[in-house]
Amino acid sequence: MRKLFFTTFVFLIALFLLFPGVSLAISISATGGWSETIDKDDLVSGAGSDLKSSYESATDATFLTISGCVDDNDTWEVMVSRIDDNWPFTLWVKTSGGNYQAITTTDSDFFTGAGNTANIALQYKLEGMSVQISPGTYSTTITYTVVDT
Amino acid sequence: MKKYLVFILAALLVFGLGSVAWAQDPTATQTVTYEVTAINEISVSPETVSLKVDTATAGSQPTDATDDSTTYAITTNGTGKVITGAIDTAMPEGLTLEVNLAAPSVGESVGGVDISSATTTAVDLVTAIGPVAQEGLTITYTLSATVAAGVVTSAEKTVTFTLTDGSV
Repeated sequence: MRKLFFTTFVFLIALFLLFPGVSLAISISATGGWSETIDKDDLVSGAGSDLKSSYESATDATFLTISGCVDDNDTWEVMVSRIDDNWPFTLWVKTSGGNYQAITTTDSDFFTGAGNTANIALQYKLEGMSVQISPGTYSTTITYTVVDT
Repeated sequence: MKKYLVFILAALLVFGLGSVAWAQDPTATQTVTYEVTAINEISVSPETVSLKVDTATAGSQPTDATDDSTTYAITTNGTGKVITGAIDTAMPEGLTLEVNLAAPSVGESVGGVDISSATTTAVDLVTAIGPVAQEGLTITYTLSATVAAGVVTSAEKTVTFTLTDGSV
């Protein structure tokens, strides 16, 4: 009985390792983020002028990594959305070489690709800053979702 | 029967553990945070103005000297702000220096205010200022003298405008 159990176990382990796609799913991870402090140095030309309305992050503010693909031909799509309570700005995101697209509170198509891909650099842009925005801290959480296509 | 049971249990064990160990997350999150600090900036241009009382109508006190050639600029993202005015040293006896600041689009001018002796306590010039970025707002100085002041030699005074929180 013990021998049968051991044999079966080894057989299934081998099966599992040979066909990882059976239980693997594409996943996404993100590192980095963007934090900015707006103060008097951001006035367009000192007293009497408004704050600069637009701000851009570094070109590599966020790195995305896609993993768990079956092979290099396993295609996927990344969607993006944001969630927040008090976000009076327009937030944009783009990949290196791509075009900015607004991040809304509903999932929207962002970019596509295939196979495991690491270090996908993202850049952010914020618009809508002015002295009409009350002093305080504003935060939004961006969700990237990868979908196997 | 037992063989099948062992096989099924083993399969459940392997794939069950496998799914736990290899569970993947199709989402990733990032946080973007912006902090907007309190911004209260004020400036004047030009920084010097000259006033001279040198005429009078017979039978009356000397004619006031008035200047409205200077302006101020203001930027604030706060509310309930005020602009106060103060002078470094008091005006000589018989001389009065009055200042009148035009109000920005969000704010109320107090009108002409005597700052001749506002050396230790600044006086309000514009109140109820809200978020605004505006320049070219007129500053009007009026220098008055009575005959009792006599002849006063030229002197320099520094007037300081401060954008601050209003009194509660």
